[in-house]
Amino acid sequence: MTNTSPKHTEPLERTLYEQSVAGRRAITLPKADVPDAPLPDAQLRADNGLPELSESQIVRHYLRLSQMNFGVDSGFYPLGSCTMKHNPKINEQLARLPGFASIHPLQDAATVQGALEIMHGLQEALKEIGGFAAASLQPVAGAQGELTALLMIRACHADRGQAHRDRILVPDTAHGTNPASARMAGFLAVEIPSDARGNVDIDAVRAACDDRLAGIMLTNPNTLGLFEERIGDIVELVHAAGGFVYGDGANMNALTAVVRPGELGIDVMHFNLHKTFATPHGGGGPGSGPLGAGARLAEYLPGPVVEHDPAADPRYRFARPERSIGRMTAFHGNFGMLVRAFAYIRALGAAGLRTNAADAVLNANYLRGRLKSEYPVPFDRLCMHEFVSEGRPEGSSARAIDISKRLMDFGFHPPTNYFPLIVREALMIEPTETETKETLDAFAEAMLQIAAEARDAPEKLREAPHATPVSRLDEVKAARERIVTDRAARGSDGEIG
Amino acid sequence: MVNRGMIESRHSETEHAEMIRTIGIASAEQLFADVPKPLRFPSLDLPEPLAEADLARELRGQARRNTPIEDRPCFLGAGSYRHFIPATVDYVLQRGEFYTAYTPYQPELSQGMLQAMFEYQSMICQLTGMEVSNASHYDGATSLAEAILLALDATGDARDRIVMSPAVHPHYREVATTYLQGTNAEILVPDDPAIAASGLLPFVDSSTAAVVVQNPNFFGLSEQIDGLAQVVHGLGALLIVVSDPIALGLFQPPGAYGADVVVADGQPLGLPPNFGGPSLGIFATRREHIRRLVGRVVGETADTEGRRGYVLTLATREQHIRRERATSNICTNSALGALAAAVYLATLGKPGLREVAELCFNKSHYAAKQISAIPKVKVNANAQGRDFFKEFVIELTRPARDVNAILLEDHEIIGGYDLGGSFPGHENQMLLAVTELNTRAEIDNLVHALAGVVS
Amino acid sequence: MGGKIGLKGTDGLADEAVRLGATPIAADRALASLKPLKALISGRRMERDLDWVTCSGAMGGDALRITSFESIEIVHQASSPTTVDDTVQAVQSFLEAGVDLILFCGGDGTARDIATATAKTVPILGIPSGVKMYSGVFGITPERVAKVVFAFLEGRVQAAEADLLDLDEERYRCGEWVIRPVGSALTPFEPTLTQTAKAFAVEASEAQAKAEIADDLRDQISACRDTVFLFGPGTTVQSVAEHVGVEKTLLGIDAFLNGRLVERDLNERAILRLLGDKKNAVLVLSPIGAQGFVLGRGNLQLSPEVIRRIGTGNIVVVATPAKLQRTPVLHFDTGDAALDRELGRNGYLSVVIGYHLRRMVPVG
Repeated sequence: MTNTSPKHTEPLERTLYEQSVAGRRAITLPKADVPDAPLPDAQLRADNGLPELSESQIVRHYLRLSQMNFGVDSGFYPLGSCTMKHNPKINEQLARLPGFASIHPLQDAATVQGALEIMHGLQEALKEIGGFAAASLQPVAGAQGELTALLMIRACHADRGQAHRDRILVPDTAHGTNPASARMAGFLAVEIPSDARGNVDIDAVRAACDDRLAGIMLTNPNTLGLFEERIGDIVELVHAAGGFVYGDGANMNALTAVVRPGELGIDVMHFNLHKTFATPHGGGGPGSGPLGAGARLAEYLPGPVVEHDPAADPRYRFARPERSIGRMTAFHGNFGMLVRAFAYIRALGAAGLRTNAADAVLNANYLRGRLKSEYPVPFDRLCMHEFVSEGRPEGSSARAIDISKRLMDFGFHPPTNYFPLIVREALMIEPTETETKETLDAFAEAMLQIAAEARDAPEKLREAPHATPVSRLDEVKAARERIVTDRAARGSDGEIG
Repeated sequence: MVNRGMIESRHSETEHAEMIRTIGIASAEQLFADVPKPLRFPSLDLPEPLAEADLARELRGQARRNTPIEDRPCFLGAGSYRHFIPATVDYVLQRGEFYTAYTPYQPELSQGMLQAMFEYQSMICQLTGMEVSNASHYDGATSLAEAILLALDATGDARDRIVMSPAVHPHYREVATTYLQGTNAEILVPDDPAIAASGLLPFVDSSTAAVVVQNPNFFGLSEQIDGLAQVVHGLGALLIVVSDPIALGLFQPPGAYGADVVVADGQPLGLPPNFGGPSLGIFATRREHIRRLVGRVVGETADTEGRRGYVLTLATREQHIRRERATSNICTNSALGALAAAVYLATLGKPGLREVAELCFNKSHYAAKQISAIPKVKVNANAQGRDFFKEFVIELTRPARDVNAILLEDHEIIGGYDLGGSFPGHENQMLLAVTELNTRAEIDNLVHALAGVVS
Repeated sequence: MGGKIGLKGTDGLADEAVRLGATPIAADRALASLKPLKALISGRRMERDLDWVTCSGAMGGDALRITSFESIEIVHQASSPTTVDDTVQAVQSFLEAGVDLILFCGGDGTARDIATATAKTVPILGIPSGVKMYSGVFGITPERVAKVVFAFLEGRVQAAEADLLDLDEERYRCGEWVIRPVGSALTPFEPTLTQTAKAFAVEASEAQAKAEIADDLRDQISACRDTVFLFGPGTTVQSVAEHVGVEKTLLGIDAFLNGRLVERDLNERAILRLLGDKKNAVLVLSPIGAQGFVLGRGNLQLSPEVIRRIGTGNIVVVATPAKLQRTPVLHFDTGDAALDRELGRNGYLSVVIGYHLRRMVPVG
């Protein structure tokens, strides 16, 4: 689709409210089979403000909207640090079984033994993969896992009479959620620079290790896609200073069955089931961020967790870790995601997990090799599951954002832009293991062609994308006008009553 | 699949060799040279891999060992409910373009999800009577925790206390307490679970950042909230209301009685119980707090040619709220749950949601009336004369736990929530939920069974 | 996007370098900036929309012609050799022509003359080509200046205040090399990219960064009752102080106790007298942009004796991320080598860059 006319007053798809006609309905409800009870009139509202549509309108509306959206099922999605791998379809079927989807979180344990067995099985698998003493499935997102881990560290220091330890070291390549989580947990974040090889500057870590050190947040491989070459020394320094090492497991896809973070000295780590273990990202969620913990922090894990006692009846039941920091979600975490991740691990086994890591790393290095002549890699070592290039081809004034938008015209989702911050015009590329060599080659060809265009026909980049339903959108206007409801936009949904 | 010892690959041998050559290394083993050798390639004690058919067999077996509430009488609620889910919902959720997408960072490739989220926000604002909504939070409990952080920020440093009704869901209270461990704020909860909302006011003072009430409350009761917001505001605090989105189809929205933040668990809006998650956190507030609204927010804008479009907006606000207490780290949310809720609300529409609420009201009142006729069983004993919506408390002559066991074993009925679990001393009480899916026959069976149990 | 830029070149003769008896340096530094700028904008619309106003000959016109820029207007005929008056008159003509930015060659002296003439109405940017370039209005290299100008033309950078520093000529004549703050000027500032949630990098303004630092400092102040807070010179500390809610002089060292002003513009003796033997003190400083001196430039009141009295552990160094981006390494030069060693003993300094946010910055 190319945009030809200069002004488009008709929207691509009218909103539900614009399509609403009074008196229309999509569904009827069963007649009441009990007598009416007297309603408390004073508490009733005149109008609940919802639109009125027919079922065919609704189906077509959402079908058209879906056609204006791009998922992994649509095409290559090398969004760095997000691990956009294929989501196996069998897992969607299984998670929808009534025995999983239609069980109530407060049912008696005896009536949900299959669910508890799966949760327990996943806890055990994550312990084994991570090299941890215990696991909790409570956190429902990576960021929540981070916060939870830091609250555990905080509680443990407090129990040891070390409540004054209020500093958390955060490398300058860390995900933005890291410092935000540190602040939420009441810590002061101390940013550690990277060294010339893209590792954490170990001298800066040493300088920051004092009696106020609470811990360090390490992402390994880091967001440059590089394995921390001196991780052993960093862990030793932090431990010697009385701190804990938290692992951000967002990049675990490079390391499943390759190394156990617990054996590297990580005290507590979150896993992103929606990255490493292929649960779908859902357009932004739900996710799941279970924690693994070593012996020193295990008893602080959030609860409840599932315990197994073959001699008891029922055999699986919920329990609280000894000094649990408490609950992070209303019930047992995102169980639907746990089922999918369990099925994924179950299908692959240890060999399959290692193949994944190996192919993820192979694919990333292959693309790095194919692209680095045009897109320089500032820390040019063998990478893990992703790498970061500079999106400014020699001899052009193109920026990373222009390259990204132009990629859309070739049918690819762009990489992550402008992150990590220490690389200028960063393009963070994570192909994942589920892509074929043909796809990687097609992407590489597109990237190289774009680099050539950046020199010879820069307007093609500046005006990109050309093949999407809309062209570049005015984000400044959105932030200034802050129109966040249909009512604010058009007033088409009447008064709130 | 080609086996190369430790390293296997999906690629053909020729492809693999070409890739290794392009990388400029001798063998794939070299790719992991940075990993400390003694720890490299551990042998993992995991079960053998399964083929898809075997996997399906194994998990179907595990699913069968659970007792789903779908097709049997269920009176369990307490924060997760059995409501009807129209077929349109899963039809939309199964579109791969939606469920396999990431957060819509690139708007040109995400107009579908962005518009759906914009419409979700629009409908949530209507339902709650608020002006701005985010594009979802994890669940009702975490929405409440972050609403409290919002209130602590909005009311300034001197206010570090939250007054919370004891009739707020006990798990929500627990989650909020965990979230506040990194702050110096504390939550004050009066002891008496039967206290009315107005009974919270004596606890409110110049150190109070917010008053939290749930309406209908955890016990299903309508709170008398008229005038509460004015008093709370007069004392300089905010009013946070935990709501039930189904009730909002029929009853006054919290915005109408002065709430500053409305949170709710969105599971009743088209999501199956999922054993508690994933759910959907609803989070809406007044425009004056838009910069404190955590999570993603979708805004309407235009493209370079003036065509309407949608983008994530206000993305920077978390960084710009400077005080520690207001900072949120939320990134992943519950977008697919919000999509489900949007399709649900569109399908039910204005009359449909009202009717669902009316059915819940009528059926629960019918059930309460029938049960109250059972000798020795009391209904809402601590709340005589108070209105309720779809849940109510019954007091039995014996522990609710035992009664539930009998209901299940002898009648295949999933009973109510044993209040003794969260409220010591209330072991003989149970919270029953009745929705539009409970038939009159189910209710009559329950009444009959209860009468047998207590006699 | 486009704009009008005033260029003031130099023949090296009017520069303070010459006044100080140094050898004049070549003026081709201007070309080292203009050529890469030309390359950056070539083919873009801004190339057409960019107008230059400049001085004749070696003072700007020649360099622009060599670089083949098109729209050039000579608005000032320079005398030969050029004088300080030339600078002032040229800037006046630029302002009358309505320029958006003044680009100049020179050092601290030129920066000061231009800043005085513009009175913060227009941002100024120095191509480093003098002997002393301590002021925050200089690019790190001529090439880097080109990128800043390009970003400015694209509307990607904002104007923010930066410190002007210069040699104290009076003391120089007495044989002392003393750099002191002399005021501030507007200059294009590259905004720092800040991360929110993953995959979002956003630009945070200088003002926001300073407000965040102030919030952090306010916490420290309320945690340390009855401690004297000494606020050092410079725009960073001044605007942080403003956010904290105290009024601070730009160039002096001011003392506050429990949020109230105690004394302004303290010299070495006054500080020692104020602190006496007992009082706890915290010293708030910000490094000089680009060159990185925390002590020993622009704050000579802070003698080794004063620093020892305050205690090396009681120095709070603040800087916005944008400032640190231009200032990769920090330095101490108190004149007391042992003290300098102690101050930099870890090899890194923990700098407050935001609310509850520190950065470990290497010490040279």
